[in-house]
Amino acid sequence: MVNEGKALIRRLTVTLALFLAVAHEGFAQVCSHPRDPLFYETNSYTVGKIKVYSPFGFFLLVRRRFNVLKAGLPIKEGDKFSKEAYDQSFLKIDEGVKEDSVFGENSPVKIVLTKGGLENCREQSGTTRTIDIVYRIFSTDPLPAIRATPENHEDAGEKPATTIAEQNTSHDFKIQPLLSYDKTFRATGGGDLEFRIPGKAVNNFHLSGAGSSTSLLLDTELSGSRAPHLRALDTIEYHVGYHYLENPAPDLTLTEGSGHARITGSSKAFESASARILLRYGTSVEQGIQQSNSVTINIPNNTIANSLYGAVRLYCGLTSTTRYSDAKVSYGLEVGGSGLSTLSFTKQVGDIAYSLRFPGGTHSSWDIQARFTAGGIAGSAILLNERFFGGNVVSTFIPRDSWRIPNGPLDRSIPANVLAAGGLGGTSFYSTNITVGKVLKSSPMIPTSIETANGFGSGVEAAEDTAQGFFADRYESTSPEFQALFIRSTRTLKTDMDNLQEVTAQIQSASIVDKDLDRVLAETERQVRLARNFIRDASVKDKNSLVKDANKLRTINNPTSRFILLLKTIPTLVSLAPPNIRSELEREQTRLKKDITDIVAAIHTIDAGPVGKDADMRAARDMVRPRETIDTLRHEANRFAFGFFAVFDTGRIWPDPYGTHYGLGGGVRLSLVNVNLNLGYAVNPHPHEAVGQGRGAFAVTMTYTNLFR
Amino acid sequence: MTPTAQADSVQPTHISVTFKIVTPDQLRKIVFTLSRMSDAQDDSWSVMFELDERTDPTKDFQLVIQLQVDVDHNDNPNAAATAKHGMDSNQRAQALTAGDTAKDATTGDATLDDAKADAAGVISARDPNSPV
Repeated sequence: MVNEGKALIRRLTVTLALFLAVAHEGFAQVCSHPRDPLFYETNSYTVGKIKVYSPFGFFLLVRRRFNVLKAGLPIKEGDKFSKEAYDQSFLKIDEGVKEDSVFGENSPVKIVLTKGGLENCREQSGTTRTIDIVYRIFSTDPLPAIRATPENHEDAGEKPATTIAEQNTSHDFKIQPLLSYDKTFRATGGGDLEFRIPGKAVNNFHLSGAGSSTSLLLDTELSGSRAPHLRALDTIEYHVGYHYLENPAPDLTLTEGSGHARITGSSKAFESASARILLRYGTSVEQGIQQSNSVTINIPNNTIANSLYGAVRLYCGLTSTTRYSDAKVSYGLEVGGSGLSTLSFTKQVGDIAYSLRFPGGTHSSWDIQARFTAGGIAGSAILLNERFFGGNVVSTFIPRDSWRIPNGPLDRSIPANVLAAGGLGGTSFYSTNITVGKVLKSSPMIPTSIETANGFGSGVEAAEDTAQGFFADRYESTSPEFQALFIRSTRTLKTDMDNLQEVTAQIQSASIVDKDLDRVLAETERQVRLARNFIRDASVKDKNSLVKDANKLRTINNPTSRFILLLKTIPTLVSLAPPNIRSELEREQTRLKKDITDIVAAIHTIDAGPVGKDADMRAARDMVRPRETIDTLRHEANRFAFGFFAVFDTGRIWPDPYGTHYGLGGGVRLSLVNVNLNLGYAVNPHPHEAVGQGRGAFAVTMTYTNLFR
Repeated sequence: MTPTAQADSVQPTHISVTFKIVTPDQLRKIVFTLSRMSDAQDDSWSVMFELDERTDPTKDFQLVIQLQVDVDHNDNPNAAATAKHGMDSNQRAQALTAGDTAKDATTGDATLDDAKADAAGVISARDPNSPV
């Protein structure tokens, strides 16, 4: 609970830095010929400053990259302005920022927008005429939430700046200070320390400590991971560690210390036409002690306040992501007691979360997130630390894991751990949480001026169609039917070339070759040689012994095909060749022409048949996701946005004489691509001040908008 | 004034938009770059298409093809149709063949003129029955 609570202010701080950085841009003076670089070259302007702006320019790695690029540009500050150097410099900048891994790890989806322009022109006569060159770069690479996995989304939503920094730096160790404030936990300070371990079985060591006047946390863990790439087990993570926590609740402090071993696996994603579904599952074993400073007489029946502690947890869940929605279902079962040999109670928690963005195709969409969580504890000798507490921060069922199943009711209007009357928690709970948001003002990822520019939309569609065509070609050309046709056809064409070469040899040996005949013969032989090259190059096989690019056969009837060019030279050769060879030459010409016609007809038959149709279908299916992604980036994604959100929570713990608690509130939301910072206040309409509940609580949350499956 | 409004109010001479997508099976990477160059007279867009493939998600991608097509100022109807609708099957095959000829030119099996002719043939190879 402490580490969740104290993350709030840290999140606020780092995210404000992120948003303020976006707002940093220079102010430019007006240029009289901003789109005419030649004007400034002709009028002998000098290059003033060369500036590179990016929303992520405050990251050291990004800034360093820009400095390296700037140093290598053909155009330099103080040089005479040259249009050619200016054009070359833009290409160099653009190539430099769109390379793979340029801003850290690669993501499966990336958009890079680079703009170059002339600004700040000092055009007054009598002074040194200078002009600034400004590049504005936007790349999704430094933004981890753009990646299409629920875990990455969540991690990036929880702590965006640190996730970006981790992604963009290859670190052997990481030290991260922690600072936060919450009414229950008070001002909390601490830090995280993480080492990378160069081992096969264990890759990481993590130490975390934080404390306040009411709480204390110590976490240490060794972790490793494997990727078996099996259908049911694509990745597996394992951890062993120790956990100590002093957790404040009204009028008491709960203390626990335990060692644990935890394994979490996930299946390969099941990809359907509209959704991406992932199965997750795991287990953990814990053994330790649990204590509290509660007066024993107040302890509920069937509850132990001070004892050894042991638990086995099993958990599983499904995530389903579509273009506009995210659904998560999780279930956790804990069998616990005062030691692993005396397991006496069971705890079950179920969680369903759903988010939806609507309508599609707009930069100012609505979004709604709904969550229902419920849990119960049954059995005897229930440990006080294991009861459910609730409020605006709740612990997770799987402590220290990135998979977050709430371990109590979330009500954003009530401080942490004070939802239930009596302050001793409860044995069952439910909560519902609804958040509705709307983008009011946005800056599209691709500016409207570019999106609506003549040629941009058709260019994107042409590129998409070309990609789909390449996929279809690949499927069709690797079919047994096309492979057989290729082998048969190239054999025939090779024979044709052999025959023609033989005839040209006959011509050369049978007559005195004059200048004209020599020229035509040379051209014929050149085309025969190039046609042979074509057959050789096109026949290269892959590791599966399939002809790699059998669809090259389609080119034999193209206007620039060596076979067609060869056919064009033959009539001239016939007219110049000795009479006794002409008929043989004409026969070869007819044969080649017929062979080409037959091959083209055979290709058309395959195209129109089941093989061609299946290839088209598979290629169209392959391009569904890329088309969808590009469409989202063009018509829905924002570089940054401003909007509002409203929340409505209900939560209840049993036993609690006050019944169901409500929370109602709202606030503003600032978004950077799909990471949202929500600042708001939630009102508690029926506060019970005797148990520490106030009129409401500030809500500072990080969420993400699901842009991609 | 918001940063974006200001950025957009400046008229850029160069714009480049790159989309990169790795397909769900992790075996193909598609890259499109649309570039606009402007001068005092007019604007011109060009489209770069790149396809990379690999047989194993743990291996590096290998370039299959990289092509660039000018979108504007296409007096040639084939070029205009290609810019609008993408390459047809004949053109895609010709593009691969042009790549082979370019390699042959480096080994002496073909001349530089042969390579240039095959590259130019990508546009002229368009099937008359393809969309215009």
